[in-house]
Amino acid sequence: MLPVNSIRKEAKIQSEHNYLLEIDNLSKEFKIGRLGKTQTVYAVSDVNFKLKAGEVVALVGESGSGKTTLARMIGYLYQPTAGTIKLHNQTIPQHLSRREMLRFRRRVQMIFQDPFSSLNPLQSIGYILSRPLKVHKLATGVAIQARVIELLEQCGLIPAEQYINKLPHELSGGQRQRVVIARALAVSPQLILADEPTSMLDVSIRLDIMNLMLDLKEEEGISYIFITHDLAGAHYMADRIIIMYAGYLVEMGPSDQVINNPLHPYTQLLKEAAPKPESGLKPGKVDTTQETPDLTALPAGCPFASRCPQVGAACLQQLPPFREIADGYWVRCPEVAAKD
Amino acid sequence: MSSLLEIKNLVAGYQTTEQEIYAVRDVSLELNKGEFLGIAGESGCGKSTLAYAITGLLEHPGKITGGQVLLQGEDLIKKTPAELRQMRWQDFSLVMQASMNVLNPVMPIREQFYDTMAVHHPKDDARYFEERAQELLELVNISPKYLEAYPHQLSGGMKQRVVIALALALQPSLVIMDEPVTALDVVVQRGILQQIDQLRQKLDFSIIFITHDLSLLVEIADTIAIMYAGQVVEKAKAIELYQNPFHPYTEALMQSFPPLLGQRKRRHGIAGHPPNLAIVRPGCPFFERCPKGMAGICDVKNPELKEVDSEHYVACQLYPEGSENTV
Ligand SMILES: Nc1ncnc2c1ncn2[C@@H]1O[C@H](COP(=O)(O)OP(=O)(O)OP(=O)(O)O)[C@@H](O)[C@H]1O
Ligand SMILES: Nc1ncnc2c1ncn2[C@@H]1O[C@H](COP(=O)(O)OP(=O)(O)OP(=O)(O)O)[C@@H](O)[C@H]1O
Ligand code: SF4
Ligand SMILES: [Mg+2]
Ligand SMILES: [Mg+2]
Repeated sequence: MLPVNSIRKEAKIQSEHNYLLEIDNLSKEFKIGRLGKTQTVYAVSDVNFKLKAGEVVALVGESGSGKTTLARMIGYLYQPTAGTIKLHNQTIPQHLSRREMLRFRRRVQMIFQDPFSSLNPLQSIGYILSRPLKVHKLATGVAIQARVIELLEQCGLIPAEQYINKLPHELSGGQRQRVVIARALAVSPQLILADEPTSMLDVSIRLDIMNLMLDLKEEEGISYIFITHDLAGAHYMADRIIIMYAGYLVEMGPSDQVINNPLHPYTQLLKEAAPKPESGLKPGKVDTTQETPDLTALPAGCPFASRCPQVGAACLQQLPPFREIADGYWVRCPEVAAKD
Repeated sequence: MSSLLEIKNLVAGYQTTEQEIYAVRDVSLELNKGEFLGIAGESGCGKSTLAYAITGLLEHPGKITGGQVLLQGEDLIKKTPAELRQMRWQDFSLVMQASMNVLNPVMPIREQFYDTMAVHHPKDDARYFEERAQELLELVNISPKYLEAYPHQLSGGMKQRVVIALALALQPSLVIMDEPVTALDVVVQRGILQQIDQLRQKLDFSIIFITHDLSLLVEIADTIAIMYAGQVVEKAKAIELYQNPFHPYTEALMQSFPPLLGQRKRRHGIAGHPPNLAIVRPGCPFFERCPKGMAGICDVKNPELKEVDSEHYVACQLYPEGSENTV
């Protein structure tokens, strides 16, 4: 599409030659219940993956499988129980000073899952969008207003002037969601953690927003971790797709392959249940009655075993390892044979 | 089937200091007992405003300026706030679009169930409440363990499911759900909808379901209404609307879905911008973006919603009344 740009981008990746983000053995546990009889929720277990600059990875998985928790750890909003996160080859320390924090926010921005609670109800849209520009000294004087208008227009909030003085509650759900996106884009970060950023948008505006994000990836090299339940959207946006189940990564590989030829039985179930716009929107019939996993009492073996149509003896004995079965393609399932 | 809800020429909007927003424009809809009506439409076109207006929850500066909302023959618009409070949860319930944060953050889930039920259940029967709360959570596929939890300890999709369970607690005859499953994966989503659907058939309550997920509606709704710029522009049986969309906006919407399979390729949304709801134009609100718009006709008169085929209503100049889809 943009050969010059992509050559330049390639060169940039080559010259840095290491990863933007490296996640090593990351886990998060929570406690729930009353004192004395608390239970441990294993929300994210032993997650490993790497992200290149300018890459888009979609994180897809069951409701409650730990996607938001993982994103919040990367975004320095939750302290991991175990494991490390490296940004540009530097481990993010447990505690950041105010200055380090500011620097971190300049590089990593989060789009929260719930646009209703992530905007301060007392601040106007104009204020919300101009603040990051001022805090990070990205614009001064009249340039601030101009940039705010540009951001609103990019996100389809047109005429922009009409939104500047509004308060969040004066906007519809999808309009608020776009303000949250515009706020993350405002600082031109290196990485955006986007937690269901398009869930409240109609399909047409959803396409516009995804295109905007892809344009910014191509023009500015922004990377995204794109959390979504929309498999077609994940395929559209992402270079790679990661599938999570019960806090574990269960499949990871290039989008085209994960979508067209999923290998893990849970991914196959997801694909079966997903609508396929190209062949009539109607999804296939799947058994949806089965139990979702209890994160306070995970089994010794594969967490999907109790629902899995392909379950074998090996699955029940111990947690299957996350194996690289072909170059850059990972699956957590002993029933999937390695590709040469 | 008999009619449960009749919305007649409803007009509602927001009067702010700067301008007036015409968010619901002369909407008429009818819902039978036990019917499942899906509403889809552009972001910002007035769907939530419609839901609030029906349930009497439209707050200042929002207001209803015309029309009727007849629930079993009684006009809800004429009810006092106290009367409406009495009816809420019991006769109708609303799962709001902000459902992820309507739960009280400092109260465990159990208490929220007790509170909702206690309003209309004088008998302070802890045993009944407990059983019912567990039953409701299981209905939405959440372990009763989470009755102990506080809202912040639940994932986004779990919070949405708790709110759905609360809306069903007192078995109202009308349940309105505004984007209730945006945070649920397809498997869980369809599981819950099937549960709700079975319950609906058993208890014969009606549902208005607002969503951007047309595929979900095609699968589960009886009827689908498409909104654009505060108006209902098309309404038909779910499968008919899907296979045979008449309105150019509906058609364009259907073409905006990226395909699931195959190679990745760029596509584009509907050209142009969503309309500004502070302005009322004389013609069709979709005219500026419509590939089939006819200057001199479409920009002069706003088409009314007419039945152009059996039970298929559309508001578009391309379809004269009773015509056999000639275009
Ligand atoms: N602050 C918390 N305290 C206790 N438990 C938590 C907390 N946050 C999340 N959990 C639990 O961790 C698990 C994973 O939650 P998470 O929000 O990461 O899921 P998710 O994949 O984002 O789901 P969804 O798609 O529904 O948003 C859930 O079982 C949830 O109950
Ligand atoms: N309190 C308010 N004051 C002024 N304008 C408002 C207010 N609430 C909503 N609006 C405007 O009314 C219009 C309709 O909003 P509504 O929330 O009904 O849209 P919606 O169809 O539900 O959209 P979405 O799919 O994005 O949730 C929007 O353009 C919105 O900006
Ligand atoms: S590891 Fe075993 S149980 Fe788990 S998904 Fe694979 S085959 Fe099924
Ligand atoms: Mg989440
Ligand atoms: Mg809405």
